[in-house]
Amino acid sequence: MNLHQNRQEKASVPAARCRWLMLLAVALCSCRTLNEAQLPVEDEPPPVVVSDEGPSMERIPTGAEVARAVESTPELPVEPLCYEGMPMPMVNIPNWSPPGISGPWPKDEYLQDGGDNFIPVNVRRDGELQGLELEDTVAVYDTIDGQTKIKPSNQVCLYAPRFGAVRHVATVIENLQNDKLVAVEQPVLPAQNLEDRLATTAVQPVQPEGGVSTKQPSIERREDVPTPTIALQPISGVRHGAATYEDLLIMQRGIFDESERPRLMEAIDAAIVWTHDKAVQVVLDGRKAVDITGDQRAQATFRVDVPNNPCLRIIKCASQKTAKPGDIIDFTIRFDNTGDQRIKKVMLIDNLTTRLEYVPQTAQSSRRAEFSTQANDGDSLMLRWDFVDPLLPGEGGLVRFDCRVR
Amino acid sequence: MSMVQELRSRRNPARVAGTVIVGVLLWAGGDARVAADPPPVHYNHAGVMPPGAIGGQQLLRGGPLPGYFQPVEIKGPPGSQIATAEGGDFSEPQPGALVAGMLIGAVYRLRVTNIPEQIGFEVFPTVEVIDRTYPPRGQEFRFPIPVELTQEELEMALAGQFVTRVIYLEDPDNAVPVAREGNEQAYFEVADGDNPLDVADTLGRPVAILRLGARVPGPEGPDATFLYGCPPMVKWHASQPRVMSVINDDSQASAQSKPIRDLTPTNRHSMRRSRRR
Repeated sequence: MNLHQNRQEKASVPAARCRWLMLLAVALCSCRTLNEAQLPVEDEPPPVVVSDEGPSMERIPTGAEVARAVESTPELPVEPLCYEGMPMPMVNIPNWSPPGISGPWPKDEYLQDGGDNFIPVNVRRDGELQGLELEDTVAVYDTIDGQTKIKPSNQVCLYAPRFGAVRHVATVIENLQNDKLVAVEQPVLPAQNLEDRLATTAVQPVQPEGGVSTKQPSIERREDVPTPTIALQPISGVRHGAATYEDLLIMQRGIFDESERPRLMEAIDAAIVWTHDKAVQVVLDGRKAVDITGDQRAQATFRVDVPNNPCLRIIKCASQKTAKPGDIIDFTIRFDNTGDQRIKKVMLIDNLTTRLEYVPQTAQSSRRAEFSTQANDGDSLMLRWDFVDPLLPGEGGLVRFDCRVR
Repeated sequence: MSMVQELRSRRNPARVAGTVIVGVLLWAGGDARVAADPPPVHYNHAGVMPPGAIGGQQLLRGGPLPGYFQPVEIKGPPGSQIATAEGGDFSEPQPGALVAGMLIGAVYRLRVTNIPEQIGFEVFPTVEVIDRTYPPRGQEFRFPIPVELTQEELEMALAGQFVTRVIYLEDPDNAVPVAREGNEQAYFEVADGDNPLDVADTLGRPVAILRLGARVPGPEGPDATFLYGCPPMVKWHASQPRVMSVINDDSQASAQSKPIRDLTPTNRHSMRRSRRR
């Protein structure tokens, strides 16, 4: 029994020391105060200077960065410790992507060009290309033994988001339309018929019967008989299934509103553009954005294990990674014969995507080639270089062209 | 083998059946949870919902949305001036475009004055950011969400009409093959019975909602309800690209309290010091 009590006393001594240490720490921390000289002054300060570097765009600062910026500003004697307790600090989470997804994300903010997407490009016996889709960039060449080979380039991803808008206008014109429907009932009022009947059935000598005729309950029922308002109901009901391009009052309700005519002209133009056929024309594949560099492509194409192995390497790159509508992007395609034999009839094709518009007279080539363009399904152009001279092993070249981002 | 090990090695039929049942229940529960996940688009939302409702529900979907100041560029017609709600009142109107970082789910009240051909009239639109973009690091303010206040729509609002403009991020796979340069933003117009949010979902990813109407503050000036509590924002000074101001960073400060203009962090220190005294 005594042994058990001794063990309890020994165990309670460290616990008591810990409690004393905690109380001492709390007391020391509670005694901490700010120096009066470090307290801020109550004048109106200038806005926060976030960065002292060049005029380039800066990212949104976090609360801690704002505090550091204020602290580093010499004309602001501010103690950053005062920021404790600031609700809602500016949390900046740039370049976030879902777990497991790498590369440019999200897909709808990037413009991709290059590679061989979705359906592989093939060459038929008559020389016609099959499977050439938007965004595809491939090179076709013949080997000395008569084979036709196809080599796609890498993909180029540009951050070029484009925004649109959908407008909905709720007006009081609807109430006015109802008033118009009520007005349509007025011509149906058989007041004229009433007078005619009174004139025909009035028996002049019998005056009291004339009072009966003025009640005319049957005539009142006629006012409830279907009026043109009912005839308009099916027309107005169609609007629930109407598409965007049918957003015309005259199409939906049969009522022509002169006041909305000028501003609906733009919607008509937009609706014409947004037809289903054109939407089909610009349908692209559902590829995930992948950032491929030339080194990766070269690593895949430089392997030559056996002699007489033709190989062509293509690297495509863009002048910038981000672009806004209207910006001009310079594209460069580098091609090299990395095989061990001569290749001929080299043809380089770049099928531009919808939002890239080729700038005329900007195509260049370091080797003698015939350049031609052809309209593609995306309302853009397919650029094509047919190189005249064959490529010897180790030889290469490059082509350049400019595109305007739509 | 001991007795305990021998008993443990035996397969108890009831235990096996229980394991199977638990597994089936877990599978069914997991499947039901997946089925109950909200859809990626706004099927259940209507464009005419009150300001803040759609963005608030967006925050419930998760992701890096809370606390992020999405850059938004608000442009009015040439000559007009735009003021933001700060500290219970409107700031000094500034001409040209206004670039500011706005919280997702919050509603920001604006005041547009000096409207061409409508001098003397004011329009008080609201902007609600319902989704964000993911630009490359350091280029957040180069790619803001464009919110355009056109002369036509401002005049509509002055005439008593209510305009809802849903700004969406265009899907590149369904891009309209037209060039969009300059300040003009293409838009589609939907009919009265259609939901603009649904239409925007089919065209891309809705990111912001602009609402213009004939609502004006009361005779005693704008109150907290009218200003939606003056949510915090980060202003971007286009003339001085290196300078940003933190506006309304105190979410606890309501619009009914003492008006505080240009509440920069240093102003906060001054207030705290005055309270200590």
